[in-house]
Amino acid sequence: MEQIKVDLEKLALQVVTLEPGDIPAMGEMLNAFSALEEKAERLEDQTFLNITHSQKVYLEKIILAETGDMGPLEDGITTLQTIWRAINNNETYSFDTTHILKRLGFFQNEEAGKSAPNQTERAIQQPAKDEWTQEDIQILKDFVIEALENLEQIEIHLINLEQDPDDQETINAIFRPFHTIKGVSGFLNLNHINRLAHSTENLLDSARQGECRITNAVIDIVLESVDTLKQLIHGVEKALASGEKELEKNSDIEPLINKIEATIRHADKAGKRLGEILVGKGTLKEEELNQVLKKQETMPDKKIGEILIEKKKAKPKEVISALRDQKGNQRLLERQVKVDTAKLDNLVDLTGELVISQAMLRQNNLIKSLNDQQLYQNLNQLTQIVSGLQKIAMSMRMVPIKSTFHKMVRLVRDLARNSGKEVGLEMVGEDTEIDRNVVEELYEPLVHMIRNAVDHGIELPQERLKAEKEAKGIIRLRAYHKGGNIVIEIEDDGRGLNKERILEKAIAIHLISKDAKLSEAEIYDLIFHPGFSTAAKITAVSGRGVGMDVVKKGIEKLRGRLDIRSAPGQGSTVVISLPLTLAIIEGMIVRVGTQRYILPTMAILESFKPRKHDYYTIKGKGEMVMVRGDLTPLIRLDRMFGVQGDSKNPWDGLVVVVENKNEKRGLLLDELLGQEEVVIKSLGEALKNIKGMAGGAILGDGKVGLILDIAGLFEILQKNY
Amino acid sequence: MDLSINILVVDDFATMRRIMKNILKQIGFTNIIEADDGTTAMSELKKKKFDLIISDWNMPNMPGIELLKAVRSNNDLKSIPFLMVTAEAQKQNVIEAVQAGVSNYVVKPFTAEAISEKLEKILH
Repeated sequence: MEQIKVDLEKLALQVVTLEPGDIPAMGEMLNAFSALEEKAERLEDQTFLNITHSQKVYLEKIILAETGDMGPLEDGITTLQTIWRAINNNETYSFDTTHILKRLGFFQNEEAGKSAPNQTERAIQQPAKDEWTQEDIQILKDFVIEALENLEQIEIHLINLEQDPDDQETINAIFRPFHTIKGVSGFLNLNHINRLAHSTENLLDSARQGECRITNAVIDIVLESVDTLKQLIHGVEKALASGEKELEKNSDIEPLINKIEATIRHADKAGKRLGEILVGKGTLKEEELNQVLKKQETMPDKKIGEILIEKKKAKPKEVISALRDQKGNQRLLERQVKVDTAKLDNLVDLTGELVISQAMLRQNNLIKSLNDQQLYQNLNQLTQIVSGLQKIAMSMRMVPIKSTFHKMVRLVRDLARNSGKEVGLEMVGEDTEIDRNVVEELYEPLVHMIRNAVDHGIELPQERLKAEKEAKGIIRLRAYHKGGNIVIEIEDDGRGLNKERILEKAIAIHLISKDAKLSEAEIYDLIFHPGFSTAAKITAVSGRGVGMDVVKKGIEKLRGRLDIRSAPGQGSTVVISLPLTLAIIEGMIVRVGTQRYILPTMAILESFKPRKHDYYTIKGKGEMVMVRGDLTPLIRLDRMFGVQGDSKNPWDGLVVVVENKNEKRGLLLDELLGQEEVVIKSLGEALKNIKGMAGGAILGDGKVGLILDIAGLFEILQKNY
Repeated sequence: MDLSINILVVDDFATMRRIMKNILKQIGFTNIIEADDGTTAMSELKKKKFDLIISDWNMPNMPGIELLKAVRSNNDLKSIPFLMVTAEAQKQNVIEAVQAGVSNYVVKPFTAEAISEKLEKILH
C-alpha cells in the first residue's frame, strides 16, 4: 500500500517536469503507470483503476502526438492521490470523477486502443516532384530491382503458405516485403504502388493477427496483387529508361483494391485460434477465453488480442509471443555483395588470359634452358595460384539453380489450376550450381517443358484414378553434376508419349515417309520439329506447335543435349545436359597443314584412318567415307578454309566423325594434337557472322586457334551441294 | 549537433537505407554505417563505438524492437540514443518501443525535416 503512495509521488514529480517530446521520460512514466495499475488491482477500487488506466491511455496519446495537452495528466495524478488518501484512511470519498475521466478520454475508451483510421484516405504528404535528381533516379532504379527481387520471394512463400496456412513465419515473410515496398514507394511518390502494397499489407496483417483465414482465394488475391505490382514496377522501370517524368501510368488498380478490401471485410473470423494458443500456454483459462469471445461478438471490429490486452487477460508480450509461437527455424541468410556482371565477366576473361600468359612463360625457350631450381619452384607456385584463381573466378559466375526452379513453382500451380489438374512439383538438387549466363538462357526452355508436362503429360484426376494412380500428378525437377556437365531432368508421372500418335502426325505433315523405320529415341526426337504438336485441342498454354523446337534450339545454343525417355502410362522424362560454363570448352586440337583448329570434344564421335576402299565419290552428293557400314559425307577442312593440307588423299589423312542434330559428317584433317580446356573468346563484332567458326582461343603456346562450329560447317556443306 | 558522430542505420531493405543515408548526409552527418537486420547491427555495435542507432521496426531475424531491448539491456550500449522507424498505423509498436526505452520514433514516410527535428531532440 505504501508503495502506491511512493509511486504516485514519483509520477506527480515526473508529470510536472515532463517536457513535450521527451520520449524517454514518457516511456518511464508509461512503465510507472503500468506498475501502478498492477498494484492498484489490490486496492479493489474501480474508480482508482479506471483513472490509472485512462492516464496510461492518455499518455500513449501524448506519445503518439495526438494531443499536446498535459493538463489532464497532472489533474489525474492529483485525483489519484486524493483517492488514495481516502482509501488509506478508510474513509469513503464521494467527489465526482466523471469530469477528469472525461478529460482523460475514458468514455471513448473503446476507440483508444484501436489502430489508426483508414489509411487510404490519408494523402501522401510529399508534393509531387517535377524534376528527378540524379540521386532520385538512382534510388528509383535500386528500388525497382530490390522490389522485384522481394516480390519473387513472395511467390515462393505464398506457395508454401498454401501447403501450410498456419505457418506464422511464412505469413510474416510475405508480409514484410509488402510492408517495405509500401514504405519506400511512399517516399518515392509512387502512389499506385504504395496504395496497392498497403491494402495487400492490410489483408496480410489481418491474416497475421489471426482474423482472416488463409484460403486459396486469399492466396489468389495476393498473387494477383504481386502480379499487378510487378507490372507497375516494370512500368516505372520503363519510364525511367525512357526518361519520362510520369513514372506511373494511369493504371486502374481500384478494382483490385476493392477486391482486397472486400476480402478483409468478409474474412472468416479465426480469432479463436489465437485464444486457443494462449489457453494452451496457460496464460488464459477456458472460461476467460469464452467470455472474451462473447465480448468480441458485440465489437466485431476489435481484434481478439486487443480485447485480451485491454481486459488484462493477457499482456501484450504474451499475445505477441503467442502469435510468434509457430515461428520455425530462422532462415540462414547468406552474406552477399552485389557486383556488376560485366565486372565478373571481365575477371573471368582476365583470369583466362593470366592462365595463358603463365603457360607461355613456362614454355618460353630461354626459360626452359635455364637450369635454376628456384625459378622452377617459383613457376610452379605461380601455376598453382593461377589455377586456384581461375577456379574461384569461375565459381563466382556460378549460381544455384534454385531461383530458376522456384519460378516453376508458381507456373505449375497456375497451369494446374487452369487445366483442372492436380499437380505437385518436387525439386531435387536445387543447390546445384550453374553458370549464371546459362541459368538465364535456361529459363524459357524449362517453362516450355513444364507446360508440356502439365498439359500433355499429366492426366486429369479422374483419368489418373482410373489408371490406378494418385489423383495428384507429380512433376520432378532434378539437377545434378555429371562429368563436366550439369544435368537437368524434368520428369512427370503422366501418360507418357504416344509413339503411334507421333508417327501418325509425322507422316501426316510429311516429316517422315510411311515406311520409315525409326528407333524409339528417334521417334521421340520428332516432337522437337518445328510445327509439331499432337495435342488434340489447342489450349492457352501449349498445343500450338511452337515450343519444343524452341526448346531444342535454346538448349543447342548452350551447347547442350536433349534426350527424352518415356514409358506409356508411366510418364516421360526430358534430360537436358549442359556444359557447366559457356566460357570454357573441352576442345580437341587438330592440325590441318600449318593451321590448328579446336573441335568441341562433345561433338566428336570417333576418329580413324580410312583405307583407300573406304572412300567413295557419289554423284550429286560428293565425297563420302564409309564409317561402320554407313556412308558419311566427307568434309575436307583444308579446302573449306583455303589452307594447304598435308594429305591430298583421304587415306593419307585422318577422319574425325562429328555429330550434330543426329547427322554425321567426317572431317578430313592431318593430325590430332591433343585435348585441352580452352577459354572461348569471341571473334569480335566484325567477324561474328562468319559461318563455321564459333570463336577463337589462345592456346598454350600463346598462338590463337579457331574453334570450329560444327552446325555451321554442316550448313556450309549443305549449300555447296 | 555534432555532425561527426557515428550513426548506425538498420533496415533490411537497401533502398530504405539509402534514403535514410541521403537524408542524414543532407543534414550534414558523415559517418554512417549500415546493417541489414538486428543481428548484424549487434555485431557492428560490438565492433565499434556508435553515438546513434536508427532502426526500422520490421526486419527478419531480429526485428527493431528486439534490437532496442538488446541494446538497452547491454551495459556498454544502453546509453546510445535509439531512433525507431515505424510504419504509419502501427501505434501499438510505438508504445511498445517507448516502453522499452526508445529515444524517439519517426513514422514512415518521413521528410528530412522530420528526421532533423527528431535528432535535434535526441542529440541535444
